Amino acid sequence: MDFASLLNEYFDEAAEEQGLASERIHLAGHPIEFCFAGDRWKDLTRALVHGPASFPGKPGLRVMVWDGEERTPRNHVLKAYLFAMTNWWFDYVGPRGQLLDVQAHGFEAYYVPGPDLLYAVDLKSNTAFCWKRHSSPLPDWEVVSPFRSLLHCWFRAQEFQFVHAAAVGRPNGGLLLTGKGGSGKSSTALSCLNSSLGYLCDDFCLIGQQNGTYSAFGLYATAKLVGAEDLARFPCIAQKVWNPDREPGQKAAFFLQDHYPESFVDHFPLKGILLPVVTGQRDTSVVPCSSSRAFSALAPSTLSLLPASGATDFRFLTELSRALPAYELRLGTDIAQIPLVLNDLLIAGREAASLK
Amino acid sequence: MGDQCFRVNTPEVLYENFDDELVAIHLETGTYHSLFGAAADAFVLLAEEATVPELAEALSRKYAAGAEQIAAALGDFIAQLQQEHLIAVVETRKARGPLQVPGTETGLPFVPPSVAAYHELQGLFLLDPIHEVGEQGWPQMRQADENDKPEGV
Repeated sequence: MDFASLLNEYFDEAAEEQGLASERIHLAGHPIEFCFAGDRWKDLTRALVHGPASFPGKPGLRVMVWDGEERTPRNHVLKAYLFAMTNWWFDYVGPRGQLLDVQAHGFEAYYVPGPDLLYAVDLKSNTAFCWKRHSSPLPDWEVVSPFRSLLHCWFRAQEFQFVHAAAVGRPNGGLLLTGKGGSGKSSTALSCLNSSLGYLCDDFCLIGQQNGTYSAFGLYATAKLVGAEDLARFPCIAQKVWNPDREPGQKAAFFLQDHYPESFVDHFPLKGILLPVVTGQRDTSVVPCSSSRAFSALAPSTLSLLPASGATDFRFLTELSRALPAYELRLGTDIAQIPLVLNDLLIAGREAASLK
Repeated sequence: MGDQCFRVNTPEVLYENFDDELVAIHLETGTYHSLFGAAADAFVLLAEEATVPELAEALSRKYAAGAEQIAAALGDFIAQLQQEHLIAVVETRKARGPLQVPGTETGLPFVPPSVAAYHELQGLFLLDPIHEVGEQGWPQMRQADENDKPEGV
């Protein structure tokens, strides 16, 4: 029996004992079913973009979620492996958390030691597993952008690229905002709530390519802000913080779709890549910049946050950076200007395209 | 160093040569790098496997400097690339044609090559990505604590 079958069997045992709950969600047009043994982790799907509620037939991907708090697997081989791997993980995993003994063609498995999470994706059966050793709470970042590793692996096989970027726009065109933490991605995306531009994401999205057109698809309906200064800039949003009792230095997180469902746009063709830079000046402006700068802002952080990333991701990000115009977004302190400047850029791009 | 042949450390190192800059990422160290001008050209040539004299000879066809002057400047550059694990020594050389420098320009001003290395994402690239967010707004490595001690499943 292979590792995926053993995990599947373990999940069935847990679901039999604790009850089975499931939720079906469309992500980037793909029907995905999340199955939970018991109800401890059911809220994890709250962070995902919720479109049409259900779909008939077989899902494109089935994700099984459970923990080992109440029961260990009946299968002695799996039980021994999980015991040894979670206790002496440094002997069992590679530098990026990959499970060295079970990785195989079409099967990817990763372990995250801190929260004791095992992610695995079986591309042959379109099945994924998310197992947590204990029932201890997940770190905030895992609650706000859950299932990252497994969604990255599976969507890559469907030719969608997981990207570390924010995105805003309209159904007929939008912009990708990229850069490392603190560059202004989230602030820019949040400035578009209740504006003429829609909100797609603040941290991660999926990008697909068809006939040379790159499109961004929403994945997580959440947002994060760094500190008190950011919160003060967005007083309406600040009232809706999900983790008011966070540790010092932890980001404030928001489940935006609960509060701003009308502001969400689920996908759009991409018209450009923006690199936000906080200037301290009042006004916001955009100036063209090189593809290499866009790539340097986009690729290293994307690759670093996705342990399964490699040459395929690198190539996609290279092509994306070359295909789209790139701009430095010089962020001003007058937040109301930001969506207007982005809107003007989208209109200018559309007019330029229509002249061709 | 003169006789040693070097190659780009693939598959761990991925790179892309844009018009104005070459960006390289080392997937196992989590470091990314930026190279310009003669440095970018030399890196592209190293993908073909090359010694310092071969690199210098090829670069002298594009840049306004003699092969000896370029070779002297390449020493530090090669050492830097080795230190960043971007290149490795070739044990057995493969057959290849003459090195071709990218582009058709000649007589460009020669600036001694160097590589800018960015290490700030290393903690995320490598296990463990247990990051909490610091004041600078970027995930930080968590310190090992009591919870990391082994215990039963």
